[in-house]
Amino acid sequence: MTRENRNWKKTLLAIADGFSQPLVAVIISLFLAAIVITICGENVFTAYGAMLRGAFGNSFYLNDTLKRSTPIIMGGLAVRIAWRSGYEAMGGEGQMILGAFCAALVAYYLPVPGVVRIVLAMLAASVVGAAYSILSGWLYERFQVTFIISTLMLNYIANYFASYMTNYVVKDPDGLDINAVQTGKIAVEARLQSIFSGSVHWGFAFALICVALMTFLFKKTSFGYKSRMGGLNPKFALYGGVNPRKMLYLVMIISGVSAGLGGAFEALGSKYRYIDQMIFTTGYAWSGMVAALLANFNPIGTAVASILLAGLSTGGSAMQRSTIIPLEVCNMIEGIITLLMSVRLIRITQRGYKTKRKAKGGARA
Amino acid sequence: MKKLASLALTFALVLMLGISAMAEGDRVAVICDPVGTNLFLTQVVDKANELKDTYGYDLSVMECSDTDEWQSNYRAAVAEGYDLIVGVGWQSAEYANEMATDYPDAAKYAVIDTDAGNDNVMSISYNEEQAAYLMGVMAGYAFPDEEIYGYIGAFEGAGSFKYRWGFCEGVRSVNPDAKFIFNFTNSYSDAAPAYNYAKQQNAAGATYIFGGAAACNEGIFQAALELADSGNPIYSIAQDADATTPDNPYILSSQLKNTGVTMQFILDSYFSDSMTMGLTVQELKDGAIGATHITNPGIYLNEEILTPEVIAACQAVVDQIVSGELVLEMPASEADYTF
Repeated sequence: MTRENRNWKKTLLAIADGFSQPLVAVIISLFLAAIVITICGENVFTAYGAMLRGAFGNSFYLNDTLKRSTPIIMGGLAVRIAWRSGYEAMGGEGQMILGAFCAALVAYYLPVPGVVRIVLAMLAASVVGAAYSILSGWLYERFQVTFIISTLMLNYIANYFASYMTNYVVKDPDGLDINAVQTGKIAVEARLQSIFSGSVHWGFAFALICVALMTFLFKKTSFGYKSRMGGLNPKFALYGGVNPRKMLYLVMIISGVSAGLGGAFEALGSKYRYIDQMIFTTGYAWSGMVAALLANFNPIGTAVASILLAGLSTGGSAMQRSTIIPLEVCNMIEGIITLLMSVRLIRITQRGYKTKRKAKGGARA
Repeated sequence: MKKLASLALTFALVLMLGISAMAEGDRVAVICDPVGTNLFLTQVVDKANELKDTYGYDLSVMECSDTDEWQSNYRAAVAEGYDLIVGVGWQSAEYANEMATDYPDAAKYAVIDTDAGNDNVMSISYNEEQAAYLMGVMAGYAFPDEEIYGYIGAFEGAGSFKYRWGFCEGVRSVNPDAKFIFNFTNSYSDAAPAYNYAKQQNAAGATYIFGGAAACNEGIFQAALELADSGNPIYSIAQDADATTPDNPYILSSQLKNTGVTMQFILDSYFSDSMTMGLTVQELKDGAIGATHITNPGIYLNEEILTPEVIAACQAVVDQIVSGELVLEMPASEADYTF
């Protein structure tokens, strides 16, 4: 077998690994969720049929699923970068909130042509996301504040800051309802347009480009190698000449840019404004974290898992619309499936297979 | 690209409408927040279920957990060919407006408790400040010697201003030196903070607490029962539907917003082909808002607090508002009012 063929095989196996884990978990968890559906008195096939149709049934629903997956993918990439480099940061939500908020304001207020506004809005979201991410890095480096505490607290601060600003400073003056706590609606020319038809917008394409870039960055560059080494064995990385301070801030910047852009895509391509709590209640960043963990931090797998998680959500809504299963039970079924997806079934199977092989080999020897 | 998108969606709509046309009877969608125990929503859903047999329609209640689901469910309701789409709450205004603009003939649209600002949408909102004023008058007459009155709301936004303003003005019409404490749960359903705030407000000297936090009010009611056991009772009111009960005599009244009546009005109008599009504001004189024991009967009356004199005084205020003798002029914004 030539080197090229081996490389192709390795790539295909990597992709298969990314796909197989979530898929196998979904199949098993569907069996368990069927019990809940039966208890509710609904036909399992009717319920799952509605769920599947609502997630991927036709171009309309598929569009909705892909649209919802866009910020999840970006949130997943943000987690993947930080965690693979050894920093267990959970600040994606705060960065995404600020990214969405800033992008919405830039796209609404800046008096420049539409495309320039989109670019500047995405730039603003990247800068704000990175700056907010750097803040948690600085707290860690300067005061040894653990990432879990600092990022969780910063998430709350970002949410309440955006909430206050939207309520009292930049609230849409032309809003239809006084209760609508949101910024002004972005003009059509400054929105991320639909790609083909329906609701999926160019943000999804950008997200896929980011997946490709991340894969390249972390597999093919020395930066990727250094950051990975830093995550696997910080002392080894330090001994090998890696500057941990520089690496910390670089990783935080890339992670923050990713999350900030996720928020920008949601504001520019889906809601066309910032709506109070729009990132907080949807839990995009947390879904992204689940997606990254499910895919074992594989960027392609993260994208696949993000689409599956988004499909679960849109499919869950469809199931609630067209069956007697109440919303709470639909959410529970989504939870069961997500939980089961978190169990590394493929790896457990592989481990069992390897143990058996080892035992067999040992006996022969 | 946008034209292509519209064409594709229209094609999908036509396809789905064709399929749905094969089904018998009309299809009605109600799009709202998670219903749970929120009386504001349960009244709508209960009424929609109650009238199913009368009008012979299929009903789907689409509960939205987050902002994205509001958008998705509105689009899906149009795409899936529902004949009447009723949105409940402020979130529905924008999406009803969007759908009614892009697909005016795909369905009939109505929204409750908001204004979609669209001539293709039947919008029904309420003058809640009138009922809140009544609650304030009731508190003023029932507890005329109090220095501090409590208020626990859901959110401190501009949307709750009319409740706060109405309540404060009502109390001050009886007790001009009254002071107020405000707390907000930042939720429509989390009872725990309301429970804590009720106890804190009581410790600060409030005996009467305006419960303006939807399902969170359960926390206030629970605190009232516990405080009564310790000999220091507080009294409160509920929102939207009558919640007075002999099991909890500390719930004096309810600020009524009869969304069930509004839902029936929409359904009656739709099936008699007489929907009035545009904004309709319902107020005290229409019977859509009111107060338990004053404008409407209740399950339980705490006669020790709500004496015939208190009720008579409140009913006199109702008459003044309905006749136009008393006009409540709310300031344009919160900044123009001192609580």
